[in-house]
Amino acid sequence: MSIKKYVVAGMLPVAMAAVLTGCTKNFDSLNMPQNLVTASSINSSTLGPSFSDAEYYGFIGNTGGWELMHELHASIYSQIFTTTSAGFTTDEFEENASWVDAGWTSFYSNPAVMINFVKNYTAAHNMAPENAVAKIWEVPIFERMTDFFGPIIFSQFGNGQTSVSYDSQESVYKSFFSILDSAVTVLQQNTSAKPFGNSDLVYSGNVGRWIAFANSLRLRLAMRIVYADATLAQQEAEKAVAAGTIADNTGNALLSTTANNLDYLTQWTYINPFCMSATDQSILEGFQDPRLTAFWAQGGGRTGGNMGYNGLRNGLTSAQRTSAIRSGAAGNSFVAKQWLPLADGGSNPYVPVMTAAEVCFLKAEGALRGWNMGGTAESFYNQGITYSMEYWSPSTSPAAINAYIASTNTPSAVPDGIVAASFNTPPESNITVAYESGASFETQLEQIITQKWIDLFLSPWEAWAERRRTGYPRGYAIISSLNPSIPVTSIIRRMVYPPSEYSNNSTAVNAAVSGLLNGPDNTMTRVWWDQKPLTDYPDLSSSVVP
Amino acid sequence: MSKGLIKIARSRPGYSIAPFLFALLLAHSSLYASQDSAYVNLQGKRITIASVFKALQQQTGYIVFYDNSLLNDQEKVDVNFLHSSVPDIISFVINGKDLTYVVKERFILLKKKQQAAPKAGGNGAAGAGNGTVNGVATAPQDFPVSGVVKNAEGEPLSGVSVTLKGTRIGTSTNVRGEFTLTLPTETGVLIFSYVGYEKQELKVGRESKVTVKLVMASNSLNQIVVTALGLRQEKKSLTYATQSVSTEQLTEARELNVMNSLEGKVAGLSISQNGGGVGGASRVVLRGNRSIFGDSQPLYVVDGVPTIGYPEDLDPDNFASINVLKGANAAALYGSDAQNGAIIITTKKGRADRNMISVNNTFMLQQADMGLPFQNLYGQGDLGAYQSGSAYAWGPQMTGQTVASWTLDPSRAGETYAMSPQPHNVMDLFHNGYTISSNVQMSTGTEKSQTFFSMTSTEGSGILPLNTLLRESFLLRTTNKLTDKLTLDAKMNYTLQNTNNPTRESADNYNPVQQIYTMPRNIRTKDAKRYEYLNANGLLQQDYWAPGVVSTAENPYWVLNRNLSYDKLNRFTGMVSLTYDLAKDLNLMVRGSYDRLNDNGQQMDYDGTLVRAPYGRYTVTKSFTYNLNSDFLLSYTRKLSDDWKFDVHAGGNLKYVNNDTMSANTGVALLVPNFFSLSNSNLPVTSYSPGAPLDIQSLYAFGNINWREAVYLSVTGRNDWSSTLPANSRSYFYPSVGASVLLNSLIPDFPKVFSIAKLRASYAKVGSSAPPFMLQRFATFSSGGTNGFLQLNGILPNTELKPEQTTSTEAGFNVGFFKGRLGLDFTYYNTNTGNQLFTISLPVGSGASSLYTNGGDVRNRGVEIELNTVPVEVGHFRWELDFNFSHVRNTVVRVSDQRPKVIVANQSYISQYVIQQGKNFGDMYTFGLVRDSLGRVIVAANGLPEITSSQSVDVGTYTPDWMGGISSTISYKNLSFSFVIDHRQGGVVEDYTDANLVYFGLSKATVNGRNGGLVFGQNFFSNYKTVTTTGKENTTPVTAESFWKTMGNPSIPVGELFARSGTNTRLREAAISYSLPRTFSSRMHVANIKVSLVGRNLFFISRSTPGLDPDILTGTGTASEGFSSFAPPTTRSFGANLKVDLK
Repeated sequence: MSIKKYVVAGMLPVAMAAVLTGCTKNFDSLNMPQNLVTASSINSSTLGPSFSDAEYYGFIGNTGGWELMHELHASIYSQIFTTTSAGFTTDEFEENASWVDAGWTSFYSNPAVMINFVKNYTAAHNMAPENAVAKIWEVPIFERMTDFFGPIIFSQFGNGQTSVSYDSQESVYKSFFSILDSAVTVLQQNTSAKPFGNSDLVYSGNVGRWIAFANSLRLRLAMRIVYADATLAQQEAEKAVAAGTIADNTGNALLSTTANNLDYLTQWTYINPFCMSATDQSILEGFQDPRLTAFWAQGGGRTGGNMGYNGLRNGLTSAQRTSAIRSGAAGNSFVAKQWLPLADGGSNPYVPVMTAAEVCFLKAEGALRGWNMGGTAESFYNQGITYSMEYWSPSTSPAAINAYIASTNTPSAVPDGIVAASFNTPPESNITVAYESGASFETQLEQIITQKWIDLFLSPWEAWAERRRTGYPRGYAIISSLNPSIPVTSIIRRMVYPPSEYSNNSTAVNAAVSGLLNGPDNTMTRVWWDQKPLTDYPDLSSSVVP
Repeated sequence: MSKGLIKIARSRPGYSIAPFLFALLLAHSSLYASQDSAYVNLQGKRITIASVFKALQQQTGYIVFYDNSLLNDQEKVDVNFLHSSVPDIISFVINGKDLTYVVKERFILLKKKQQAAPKAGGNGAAGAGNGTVNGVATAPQDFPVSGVVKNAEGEPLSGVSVTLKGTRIGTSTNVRGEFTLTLPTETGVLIFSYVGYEKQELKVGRESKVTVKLVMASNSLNQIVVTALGLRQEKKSLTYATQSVSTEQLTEARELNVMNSLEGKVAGLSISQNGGGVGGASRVVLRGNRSIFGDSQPLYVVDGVPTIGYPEDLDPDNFASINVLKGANAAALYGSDAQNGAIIITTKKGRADRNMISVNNTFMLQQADMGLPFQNLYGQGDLGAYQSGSAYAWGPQMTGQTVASWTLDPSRAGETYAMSPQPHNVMDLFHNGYTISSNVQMSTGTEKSQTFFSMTSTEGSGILPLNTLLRESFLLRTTNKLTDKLTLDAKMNYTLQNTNNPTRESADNYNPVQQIYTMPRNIRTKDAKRYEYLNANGLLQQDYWAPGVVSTAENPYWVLNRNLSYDKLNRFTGMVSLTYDLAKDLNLMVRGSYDRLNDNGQQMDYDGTLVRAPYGRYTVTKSFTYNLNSDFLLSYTRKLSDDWKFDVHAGGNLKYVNNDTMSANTGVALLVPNFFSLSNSNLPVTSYSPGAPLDIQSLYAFGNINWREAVYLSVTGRNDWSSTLPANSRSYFYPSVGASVLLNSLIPDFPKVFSIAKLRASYAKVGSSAPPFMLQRFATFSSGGTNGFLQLNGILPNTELKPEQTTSTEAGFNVGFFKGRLGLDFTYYNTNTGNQLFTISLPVGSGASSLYTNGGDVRNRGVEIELNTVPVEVGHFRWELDFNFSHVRNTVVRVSDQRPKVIVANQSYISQYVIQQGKNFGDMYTFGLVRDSLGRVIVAANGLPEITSSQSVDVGTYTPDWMGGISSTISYKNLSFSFVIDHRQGGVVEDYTDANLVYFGLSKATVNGRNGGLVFGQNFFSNYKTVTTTGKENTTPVTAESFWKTMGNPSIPVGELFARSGTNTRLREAAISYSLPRTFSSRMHVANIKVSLVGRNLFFISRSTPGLDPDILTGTGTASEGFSSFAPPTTRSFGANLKVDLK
């Protein structure tokens, strides 16, 4: 009997061991989160949401992508917007490494990952049309990154290594052209396909539209590099036009929005630290442009008032960006109602990725440069204004549009008054709305780019890139520069690489700076395509605050 | 020591050998049913006497006891018994020997014939027989002695072992402390021994009635400590360092977070509080940081069961003991969670002997102790000019001049006031905090069943208004002897805790401490308190002097009153444990426990909260955490001989942990202002995480063996199976081995001056598994678009993960002199934690942000010294004086092949917490001044020193060079006085608060040079050697404003200038207590009344950085170390405690 007890006791651990090994069977399922899917289980049915993610976050994104990267840099450097938050010092030319870091990280850790994933998945599963569409979408989202920084991580993206080397901007742009080549070729062979179906938030799988969009992108990219490689620019631009670009507003690339993926302005207007710039006021008011009321609300409060349209100069000092201005109580203009939060009656409009109007202005510039665009600069200029007006201000009658096109209105001076300071704000320029085909090359260019700038209201990164490339619109000197080495009359030329690259990818980023950037890693180094002689830029000293 | 050995001839099944059992059994009269017809048949040639006895027992049930110095039981005899009686056989065996015997019940004791005492043998009982004996032995001659054993307080002690010196005759006291023992001789020496008390010897004579008083062991080596798995072991037998803490102090000088009470008392234990206000968490680290990914904090074990890691809501009133197992060696048996040591808490049980009610009331008052050096000369503004909307104090000198009010209230437009210094405007925000705690405990029990009930109600308020805490805690514990063999121990513990407005830490809109510290020096408290106004729409809005100027700034009083948060915590712990005595020395314990924590929080932000919630927001969070543990332990204890004893144990454990969380908020705008409901929103945001379950299953075995209580050897082994590791590495085994030698017991003529001299050494390995979900890459679905979004997460999985492994070696010695009046305990340890699981950051361009990997080797090497003395002990006067000292160096031996450096965190860009090969664990890197090759600071043309372009300057580690404590108790009769002083030497803290104060022009340092004239390296920072960029002497003057705004810039502070030493000495605790005389208390019909006056954290005896309390961190994670950011002021607390024991 006693032996039995000892045996029983001794058996216990053995029995427990047997039970344990049995119990470990559920370990694999236990170690799987219920609310997530594994990467390896993504299949064609979940590929659509993967592409949607790359579309939405690639173009709009969240706080890191849109607010910190675009709004706090591009939207003010393009002088479409002015910031009214006293803490937002990028408008005073102060670098903010953490914002850039968040922007960089937000792009590379989500949309770049997803577009890469979709590209690889579709390639591995012989989904040619989907693969082609994914490749086309890769172009505009990486284009914005290289335009911001110059050399970027592109061809080596997704290598899974502890060091990822950069590509020069020149090679990135050239890759774009060849990516578009191959993608368009594939789509032309699959015109009846509906890649991603309604998960495609831009064209719902319309292959013909994707082809026209790809060609339009080629035209944009071609024009961007005209001061760096004129020959290639002309060649690619003519190729694009010959292949067929976005023909009219029905072909516009518009990213659809829902209550769960808001348009980017709608996301932030509850705070509304961004308002109309003096540049806007001078141009739109001086031109008596119907789009003024489409874009902006009258001052008098966050949701609009009746104090008229009042813009603010860029680069106000933090003391000048007081709360009275920020709340709109001072009379400064915030964006029009359609971009207000849904709770305030906003309509969360679609976001333009590329419009027929922009295509026309690109063609106008091409024609101005003597390229074969299939028309004259003036005709494309007028067509561009018409498309832009029809898109942004549909209530404007064709007659009113024609009257506008023919008008000799010029930008106006902007009165002081909103902030209690004496600003020197003459008319932004003396160009007219009516196309001056006999004027100098630079004047015609300024007219084309200024009208394109108006159309690019919701694409300030494009407007900033064009302002860097051409110097237009002239805009104003900023009020105050916190960076002693950057004069108020300057245009910020790029964004500096984020600190995380220096700590996590230091070899590669240092190699990029020393070998590819062509200058120190600061905001005044010009990217590869930014090669127009500085002497050809307009002089902003007339608007410097004394 | 007697070599005599009583053998029991073959025990009955289930009644194994225990030396003192004999006497015990003699005392009982009805253990065996009578076996009247006891006749024996036994035949054999050359069989041993032992086998004769064995047969006797098998056939009759009689058990023969004898001392083997009297009888050689291996002697061979020839027998031929047929139907023989018991006395026949006994007489045959003792034939020719000088022996006689007595029979009592079924026991037969062989003993020496007593020549001088004719009575002894009895009447013809057992003379030198010839093989046949006629009579059965009559009642033996014995000498009963009885008595009672009490403690110093006169309370009876049950279970005290009483043995006759030189024999194994013995018994133990009953619940009333009484014992009776029958001695074989007329006089003898009784030895009274009881765990935790000094052994006592007493000479007794015939018919003695004795009263014995045992005194508590003053020599800590006689202590019993609770070690792994709830095992009680004598401290002297341990092969590793542990330290126990008196639990009485915990309830006298009460801290809401009980862990804070351990500060300064345990060598090698470092405790840092966070800035969260009343009821906040603390960071607890034993023997230094070692984990790159984890937090290096120890495991908390309550009544043998690992808890969910939140010690802050535990009720110290219920603690019977706290024992700190400092290293992996001590804690190896707890496995994965114990590589950072363990804190073992045992809660109270009911007592068998009497009913007891005890009431304990504490009142503590907390006072803020502001040490920050604010300037009181210059007011709001920039460049010396007043601006009502400025966040800075770079304005003009305050002389009572009339200035415009900063108010935004349209109805007060145009108001002015006289600007004068407001030296108290910061401290006006704070008030005195308090803690009131009442505890009632009841204990009742019989020998078979005991019950303990305790209820504590605690109310507290922090030094910030509206920060309050209410805690109700109940404990019910019952211990039951269900049968002779089966014992039940069951416990229920319930805690309800409501915390209102826990303070947000660090630079945060919601931290009122930040807001008040950065308030300009001219802002009047009465103005700041008008924190809201009615706007044109009739809506209350925040009134604040500088909205939006600094992205994290608001009116402190708005934050306090209009950003409200509530946290409700429900914690339930249930435990049932059954112990079954399979045999006298073999028992099986089976236990199950459930620990559950529900935490519900809500936050209400009013319309007008700048930046974060300008249109109001309501947030609700819920989390549910539980921990299921079931285990068994089979224990066998055996004394092989007088010299050898051993015990072996085998057990297993199943542990399942999960927590799920849910949160919801109204999004960016409430539809109806200031109505806090989740449905009051167009765009509510919700998230739910079903949690990360963890299942660890374990089997373990351990054993201890000792020789003559002089040499001890312990071995443990444990195997874990973890659900979070890949199949091929989820099972892992780790052993430990330790030995200790008591030289004073081992060496016969060891000098008597030593009460103990012990050497010990041990070696342990502990494995540890990974957090869940590291083996695959996952993607998350979210709403939006047409068909939703799918997003891959940023962490690359690693299917080759292996368990972490800590290897620890420690060695030490204890010496005690003069009967424990002087004791020294020294420990040296070396721990290497390798194969660490952590993520390394990847460049995001790689397609992922980080990668799980195994790697790293962190070495913790240190010494701990405890010195215990009793300098004076005269009569009722006793003075105890104890010292502790610890030193540790945490070195990163290796990080990873892919990356020699891991940045754990970047705190406000002032402190990058870095793990780098060859450096200290957690060296901090920061922006600094650029120096040339001669070490001279390079000053730019504008007169400002050049600043490094990245955080490249190493300012050192937070880990102190050494820490020490002095604690002392002086007692005289019923009066005692005690104090604890602790000291921290070295360690660096990056002071982000200071960077902000100079940036805003608020601290005294910014007073000089407001009008310029500061030449860096000359009349300013004159201890710095400088050179200009052109190699010349710097002569360019700067203003204080331009200098400090550059150096203190909150987004890129030049941390080199704000790296402070953490050296300080403080009076951590002082208490005076008085027990009212017994005569008085008995008149009050109570057993005992004790009154104490206590103080905690009373003052700094010295500190190298005024205004900085290096113990107050922001958060409790590893990277919170060495970073001080808008911590609330240090608090000192005073209080009184009244404890009444009713009988």
